[in-house]
Amino acid sequence: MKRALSWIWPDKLAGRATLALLAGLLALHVASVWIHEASLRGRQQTVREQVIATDLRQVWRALASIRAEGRDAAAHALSGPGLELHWREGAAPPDQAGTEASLSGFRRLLLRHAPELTDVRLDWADSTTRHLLVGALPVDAAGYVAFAAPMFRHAEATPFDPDGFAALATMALVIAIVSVVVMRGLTQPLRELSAAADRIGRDGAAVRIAESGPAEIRQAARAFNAMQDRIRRLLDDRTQALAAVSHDLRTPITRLRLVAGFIENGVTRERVDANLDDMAAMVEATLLYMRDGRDAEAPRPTDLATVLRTLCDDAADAGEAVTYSGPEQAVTALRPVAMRRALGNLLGNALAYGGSAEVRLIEAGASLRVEVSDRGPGIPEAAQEVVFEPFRRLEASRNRATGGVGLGLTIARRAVEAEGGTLRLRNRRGGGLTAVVELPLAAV
Amino acid sequence: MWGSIEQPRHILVVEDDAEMRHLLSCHLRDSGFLVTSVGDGRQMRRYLAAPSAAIDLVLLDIMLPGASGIDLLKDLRASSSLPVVLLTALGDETDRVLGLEFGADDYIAKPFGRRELVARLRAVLRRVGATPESPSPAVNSLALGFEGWVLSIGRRELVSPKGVLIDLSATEFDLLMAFLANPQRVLGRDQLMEAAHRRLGDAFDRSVDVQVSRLRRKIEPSGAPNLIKTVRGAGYIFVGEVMRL
Repeated sequence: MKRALSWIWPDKLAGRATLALLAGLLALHVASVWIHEASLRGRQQTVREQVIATDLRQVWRALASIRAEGRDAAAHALSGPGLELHWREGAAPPDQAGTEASLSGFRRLLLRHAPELTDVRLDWADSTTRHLLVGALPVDAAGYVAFAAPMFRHAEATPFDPDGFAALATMALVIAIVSVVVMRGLTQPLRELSAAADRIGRDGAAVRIAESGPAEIRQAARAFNAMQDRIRRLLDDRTQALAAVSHDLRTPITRLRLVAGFIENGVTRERVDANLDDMAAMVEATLLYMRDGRDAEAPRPTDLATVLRTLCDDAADAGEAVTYSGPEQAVTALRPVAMRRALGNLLGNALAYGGSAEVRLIEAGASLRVEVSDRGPGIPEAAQEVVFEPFRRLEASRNRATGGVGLGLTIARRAVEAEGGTLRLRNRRGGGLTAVVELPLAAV
Repeated sequence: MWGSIEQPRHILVVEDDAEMRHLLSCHLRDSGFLVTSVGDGRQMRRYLAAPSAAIDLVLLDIMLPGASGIDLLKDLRASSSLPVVLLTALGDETDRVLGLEFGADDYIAKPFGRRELVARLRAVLRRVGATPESPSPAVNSLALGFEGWVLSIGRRELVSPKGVLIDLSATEFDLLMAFLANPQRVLGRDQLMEAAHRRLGDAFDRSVDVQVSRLRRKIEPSGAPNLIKTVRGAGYIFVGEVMRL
């Protein structure tokens, strides 16, 4: 039932408005035809009744003026298709009870035209359909004239006669076309509104929509823009607060590092230093995350192979177990600082969780693929998307050895997606995790 | 090991945060430096103007009330080549690049470590002390060109003749700078070690040869002419034409 209804009831606003208009049009048409019909019928009825009243009066006068023996013949002679007359001798039969109400109107009209006919008896020959009026009109003591008058009903013009139907169909078609065009115009701002709402938050840019169209649409656009301003202000306030705290933490961290230099106990000093290093790394990651999108770094042709080689060489110099394999050169357009940071985060994760890393750069048709693999514990498939959420760290990794604030992968994915690429994680056969970066090979 | 042998070097610390100033002074004194500290640019100018001032290096905070560290650096560079190391906020690339382009000798990002601070200051002093008469061509220009390549010093970036950014490690950059500062001259392993070592406070993990071969792989892709040649038993020589840009 609901299914059937939804098939008839269009999904689009323009469709619904058109359907409502057409339904209204149909109702209006039927109602107006009916009203026209009823009034026409009423007038015909009145005319017919007047004719019958006039005729009856003339019959009465004519019969009253001749002798009783000639009255039967005269009545026949005066009969016509609209009024059939018969002469009867004796007294007229009394009125039937129950017919009075429906005939009182006609009786009043008759008496207005012929005040002398006060004794007329009126009745329906067929009390249900009321097509044949019958009655008796006493002429004098000799007898009365019985009459029968068919009350014609004219053929009614139905709303569905061919001409009416054609007119209705034409009008409906015109209205449908016009209303679809008009409604599409009216709902265009709504479609823009939803498209704009969909764009919010995908990039840093504000999404403004034009405040034009009908009043309600203008109001909605205004409200939408204002809402966006409020959200932006709210976000900016939060971002600024977090950035300010992170920013301001750098001074006390620096001071503490200097203070730690005066700690006599070497073990204590090293532990304080290690904690300060963690704090500094967290502040750095948070600031990078907060500043994201505000850096006006532009994509430029960059040799990704050298970026990876630098990262791997630096890690190897720091005593890490890193291997790199890839082509001599791999040039594509990208934001080098952000990409170096992203790949560095992936390498850092591999070394922190897996203890070693294999970095591969592969030219795969129209894209460059970077794989950073480790032999660590891997990440359960269900959690492989979760780890990209900001400040999200898997429970198992919450230990001092791996540290971090949970922004490395978030920052990495953003940087990769800014180049139109993708960053995914997958577990390796035989244990370990591989981070796969796919970058489009942009024309340089 | 440095301070004990050499004459103690005098460092002027310009830092508005009183506690930081105090801690920096204490730490640098403990590390064998002579330290004078001031709180803003006015005091710095006044101190440097005094004829008795024998300052070897200025450690200059960028974020200062009144005239910023960059402004002070510009003023200073107009009249002197006194070594300046900037204290910048971490991640403020613009400050760093501006500072280096206006002639700072190095920069240190807050929050920095103690060892890193001392190592950087010593490296700058060593570098400046090594060539007191004629600063290397690299020092005061923004970028160097060789055979179509462009090395921009402030940004620490190398761009290939085809306009492609070539990523260099800090050591590779320092080695390349050393080569470009001394073109057509044989540089011994010790000299190169010295040039590259300044950024690392501790052990130089791989030999100079490994670092040079990494650099060569980046600037001499297969088929390209050799820019750096090995001089058997002596070291390396950079054979390209170098010009200031």
